[in-house]
Parts: sequence; C-alpha cells; structure tokens
Amino acid sequence: MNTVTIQTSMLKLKPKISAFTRLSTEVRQSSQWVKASGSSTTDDVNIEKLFVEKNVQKLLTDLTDIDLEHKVFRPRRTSIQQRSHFALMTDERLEKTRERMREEARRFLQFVPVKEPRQETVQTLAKDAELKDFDTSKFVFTDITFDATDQDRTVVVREPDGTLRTANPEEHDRMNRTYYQKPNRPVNPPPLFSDPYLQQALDKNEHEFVLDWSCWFYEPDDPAFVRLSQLIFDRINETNKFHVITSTRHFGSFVFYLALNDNIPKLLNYFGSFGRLSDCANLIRLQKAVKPDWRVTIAQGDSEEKIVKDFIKQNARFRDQIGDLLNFINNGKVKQDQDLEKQTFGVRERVGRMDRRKARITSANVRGVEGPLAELSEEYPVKVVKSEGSGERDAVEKKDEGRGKGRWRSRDQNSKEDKKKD
Amino acid sequence: MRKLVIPKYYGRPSIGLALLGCTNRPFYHVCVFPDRALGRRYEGNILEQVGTFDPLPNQKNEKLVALNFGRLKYWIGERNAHISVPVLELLGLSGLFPIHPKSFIRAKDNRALIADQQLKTVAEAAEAEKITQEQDSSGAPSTSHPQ
Amino acid sequence: MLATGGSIARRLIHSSCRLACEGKTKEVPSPEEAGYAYNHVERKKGMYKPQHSIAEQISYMKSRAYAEAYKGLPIYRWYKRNIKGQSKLQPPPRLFCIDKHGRFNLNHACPVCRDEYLYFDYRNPSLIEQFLADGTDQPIDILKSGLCREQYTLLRAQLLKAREHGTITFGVEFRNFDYRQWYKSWTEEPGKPVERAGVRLQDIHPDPLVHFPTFKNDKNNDWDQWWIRHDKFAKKAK
Repeated sequence: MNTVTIQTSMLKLKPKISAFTRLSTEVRQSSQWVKASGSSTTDDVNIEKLFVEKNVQKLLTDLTDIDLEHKVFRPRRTSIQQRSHFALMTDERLEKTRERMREEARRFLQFVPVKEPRQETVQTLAKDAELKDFDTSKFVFTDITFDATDQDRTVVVREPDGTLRTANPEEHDRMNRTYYQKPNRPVNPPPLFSDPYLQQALDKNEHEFVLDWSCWFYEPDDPAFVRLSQLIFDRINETNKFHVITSTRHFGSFVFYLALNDNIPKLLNYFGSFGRLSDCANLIRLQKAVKPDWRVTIAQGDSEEKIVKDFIKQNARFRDQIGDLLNFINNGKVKQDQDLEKQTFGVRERVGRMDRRKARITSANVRGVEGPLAELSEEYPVKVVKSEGSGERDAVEKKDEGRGKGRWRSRDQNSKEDKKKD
Repeated sequence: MRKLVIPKYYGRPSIGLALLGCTNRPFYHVCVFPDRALGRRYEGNILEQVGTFDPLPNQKNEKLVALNFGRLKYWIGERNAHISVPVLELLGLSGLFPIHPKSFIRAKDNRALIADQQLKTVAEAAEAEKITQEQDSSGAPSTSHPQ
Repeated sequence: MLATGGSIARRLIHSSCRLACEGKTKEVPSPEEAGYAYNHVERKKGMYKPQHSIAEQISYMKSRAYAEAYKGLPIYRWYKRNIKGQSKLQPPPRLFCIDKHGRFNLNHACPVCRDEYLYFDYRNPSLIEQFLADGTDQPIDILKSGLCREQYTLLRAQLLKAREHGTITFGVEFRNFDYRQWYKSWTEEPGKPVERAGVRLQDIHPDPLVHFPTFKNDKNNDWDQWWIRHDKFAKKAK
C-alpha cells in the first residue's frame, strides 16, 4: 500500500460529503415549521430567510418586552454560591445603572435561531457486500481533528452488513456530545424532554427552563429540537400561558411560529387583555409580513387602532377567541388587574421558597403557635425574660394602627387616597 | 540516560493500539510510537495520541472510534509511519483506506460460523420434531408412557 | 468501600421493592390515620428501618407530625453528631448507618437514616432541596449535613436524577449564538458573549476612581542623597 492510493481514496471521499451537505440545504420541499393542517398554503416559504429579514427581526424585538426583575435577572440556582452586592447610589446613578442593566438584558434576549431541521436521510458512501457480518455491531467513526467545528465534523457509520454511510443528525450530535463534553449536556437526552416528565414540568410553569436547556443541549437545526420546541409552543398556546414565555429569548421564535401558522388570535387576546394596543398592531404587522396577502395590506399611515380593527373585521371567525381584546377596544376595559396580581404572587412565592427555612421569631409571636414551641405553646406557658415590655408595646401598636409602622401606614393611606382622587 | 536523538523526529514511527483500560474493561488509544530502536514498551514513550477505540458496544450496539484524521495524514503522509494491522483494519472500515484483507477474512469466517449455527439449529429443530412425531405415533396406541 | 457498595446495592433492591409495592397499594392513608411518628414498639423490635413508598413519604412530610418534629427547618439542623470540640475537627463521616442485614449499626444514626419515612428520591424534591447550599444546585458539605457516606452518595445520585427529570431546576448556561454561522445572509457581528453568572454590579456601574491621600512623612526625602552624602549628614563618632 503506497501513499498514492491513500491520497486518491481520501480525495474521493471528501467532495462526496461536502456535495451532500450543500444539497441538503438547497433542496427542500416544505417547511417543518408550518403545520399543514393550520392553513392551506402549499407554496414554498423559506422561513430562515424570512426570520432574518430586518423588519421581522425588529417586530420580534419590539414584541419581546424586557422584564428585568421577574424574568431576565430573576433568581436562579447557580452552580456556585454568590454574595449579593449592595450599592448606595443617587437617583441619577440608579437610573443610569438601570439603563445599562437593560442593555445587558437585551443581549440575554438574543433569539434562538429558527432553522429548518437537518435532513434525516443519510448518504451511502460505499457498499461492500463482501464485508457482511464482519462484526455484530455498528462502527461509528468520528473525526476529532482540532479545527473541525461541531457542525462540519465528519461522522461516518459502518453497518454490520458492510455499507458505509454518513451519520444521521441524532448520531452526529450524540458523537459531538460524547467527545466534546460540556456541563449539563449529557450524552443521551434527559427524560425531561420526553412526555410524562415534560408535561409535569410544564404544569409547574417551567417552560423557560425546559426551553433553555433544550437549546443548550440540542443544535438549533436538530430535528428533535424543532419537534420539542414546537410541542412546547403548542402547549403554551393551548393553555393560554403566555406570561411564562414573555420577556425570554424564546418569545421571538414562539411568536414567529404562531404567525407562520396563522394562529395568533389567542396571543392577540392576551395583549388586548393588558391593553397593549401597540403590541397587538405589531403582531398583526408581523403576520402580514410573514404571510403576505395582496387582498389585505396595511397602509403606511394606518394608526394602531385602525390596524387592529381592520384585522378584527377581516377575521370574523376569531371573534369568540378575542373577547378581552374586543372588550378593550369597545369599552376601554382592561382585565389585567387580576392577572398581574396572580403573576407577581407567583414570583414572590418562588423567591419565598428559598427563604422560608429561616424561622422569623419575634417578641410578638414567640408565645404563639408560630413560635419555637408550635402547638405545644397552648399547653405550656412561654416565659420571656429579656425585653418583656417590648412585646407588649408591639401588640399595643398593632392594635392601634392595624398593620405596620406608622410611617408606612400613612404612606399606604396616601397612595390609596391618591388613587381615589384619580 | 542521556538521549542522543529526539524520539519525535528520529527514524520511522509506527501507529498502533495501546491498551489503556482496567480489569474487564478494554479500551484502546490509537497512538504514534517512536522508532522500533527506541522501544515502544512504556507509556511514556508514546509520541502522540491520535484517536480512541472502544471495543465494547454501547447501549445502541455501536462501537465508537474517534480518529484525528488531520494528524493521521501527517504521520502517514509526511513521516511514512508504519501502521499496525488492527489500525489498518479500523482505517479501512472508516473509508480512509481500502478495506484490509483481514476484515474480509474475518467477515467470511463469521458468515461461515453463522451459517453453521443456523444449520445446527435447523437440524436440532428437525430432530426435535422427529422425536415428538415418534412419541406421538408410539404414544397414541399406548396411553401410558414408560416412565 | 466494599461494604458501602454492597449496602447501596441492597438499598437499590429495597427501592425496587418499593416501586413494586406501590403498584399494589395505591391508596395512601391520611397521616394521622397511619399513625406517623408514633413509636410502635412492636414494629421496631427487630431494630429495622421500615420500608415506605414515596407517596407515603410525601404525605408524611406534609403531615403535622413532621412539622412538629422539625419545625420547618431542614432536617440536618436538628442533628448533632456525638463529638467533642469543633465541627471542623470531627472524625470522617460514617460509611453507613444501616448495615447489610438492615439493622442499625449505630446508636445515633444520621438524620435521614434515623427517620423511618425518609430516604432520598427524585420524586420528592423538597427533601433533596433541604440539603442544597443556598441559591445553588450543589449539595452542602458532607460534614455539615451530618449524613453518612451512603446517604450522601444517594443524595448526589438522586439530585442528578431530579435535575434530569426536571423536578429540581437550575440555571442553564446561556448559549450565545453567532447568527453568521446559522444564516448565510447574516453579516452583523455578534455582541460580546454573555454568561448568566457574569453580570456584576461592579462591571455595570464601576466605582469612580477616587484617590485617597495618604500621610507620607518622608515625602520629599531623597534617601539616595542621604547615603551618597552620608558623611556630611551623619554625625561623626568620636
């Protein structure tokens, strides 16, 4: 065996593979992101091109609002313990810091690329019938050359019947995960991504966690990733849980997916229930941009209200799904108060879960059921030796003022009175 | 001992498998060893590791091989390294080289073995059938079987 | 270590028994009815730790008996190893509390082994969460937790399982996408890569560089000159 034969065989192999990859990106029938049942569009849409269009990106960015405290920088479990930092600053400086945090948050809201899934079909590189049954198991060959990236790494499989083929996306990514380990990226997909556990997590409103992990675990053009994210998006849309995904990096692809499938009325209703007319208009604009229709276009100078009203007029079939939006447009009533309360309560509860283990025993409740003796406090008298008077005084104060200290109470009252005046 | 030559640049290196597992768990590294004259007995003598081979099939019945093709090309093409037969077989299966004759021989042997086993099982089945038939024919007139 | 391995295997067998048992007995009696935390002597005569299903454990942890026993604190806070002196200098943790026959090996078993309803399981994240360091998804030090090695190993195993099953969530690393890599038509440079733990108040709003003056007595003294012209300054000794 001399070097000449080696060179030729290598030369033969390489262009074959590269030609195949090029093919896979160009020849495509219909998009995986468009569900056939939703609409009767048979024409070819290049969703990747559509997604990176300037105006679509701008609309998506506008639709994703930035909630610093409850979403982007909400407390998460980290791998190392960190101290909380406190800084004393003037109002001006606080405003500046907030602005910079918002800038930082914009980077955290970078959208996950919406990609067509890679093709599952594999290319047979060589067929050796003589090699049948050379082994009972497959051989998977991975190229670990230093400068190969995760995307263009060559992975080939020799089947037991002697055929040599390229790896399918699942095998390719599994080999990447095997030989290039990262934290929280096990070789096999965790059970969280399959159904009984996925549904349990979604019931606990952990959509963001699942989506974050899946985009860390899979490549964006992995068929499994596309399938999983579509499944989660569908469930969000079914259960009307839009608040779990707003102001996250997945909201862009979520809205894009809905707009592609002509499925926006529920989201429109959600925006309408908060009285966010500009978001409604943007959403409609987005749908018109994604699915251009010459019969219904938006004129340049249309106001937001007109856009929304036109949309409602044109799509009478959605009328029963957008009750809150209609209520807002016709009567100017907003449903958001209850929802807002529910949301903030949920967040507070989540934070509180971490702190609850610290028992808060004050002189006021030391004697009661909340004290160290719990139920036994009814049987045994509690005697506090130190600062006997302070507890009494507290109790008296409480009786007098209802709740809280005087200053806070008065502020509360003031705000209430302000509201009444308004 | 003072080194008179630099092993990396001396003589004709060879590529082979180094067994680096533990008890009951074989695992191979595809390694580049120095010239024969310098010895390839010790782990410290290995010049470079260019791949791994896991001979135990995983859950999905795959044997995993990782090969650093860029470095392999250097050692084979520029340094004219000698390649051991097991590595030649692996390279042949991976499609970089023509398939090694030994793989064909192995495949042929395996096929023969499988055919043999199939024959045997067929023969056994036939025998078993025969026995049952005989039992039926002999057992039908006399209901009580001896023993 | 062999003993630990054996005991873990035994525990695994036990847990599989538990799984098998669960299918048969679906109904979980209410905690008061089941008589949680009452010392039924005849049950404990053999010094064995009884087996309970995970549903029973969860209902026990919600019951009044549990609340009264632990008062809302993590269970290891009510445990003190029988050692003299500083906790830093304590002897290494015990290998196991329950031996291969299922009997207690010690008089003062670790906080999980001693409670008959408790064992680590990914389906009951609230027990695992008690042993996580504040704000992280990592378990606390074994000497702080007071667990035996066997239970600590089980804790780590079940923690991993809980993470993979989604019962315990954690901050996933932020993946920065370079759009040029994914879209051919994209030409914009990606911004600076960000990471979840990388946002610091200090970086976002750095403290202005304030120069605090320090008192320096020999500010204008050139000590080289002192040594060069030493004979002029220094007093001549007689």
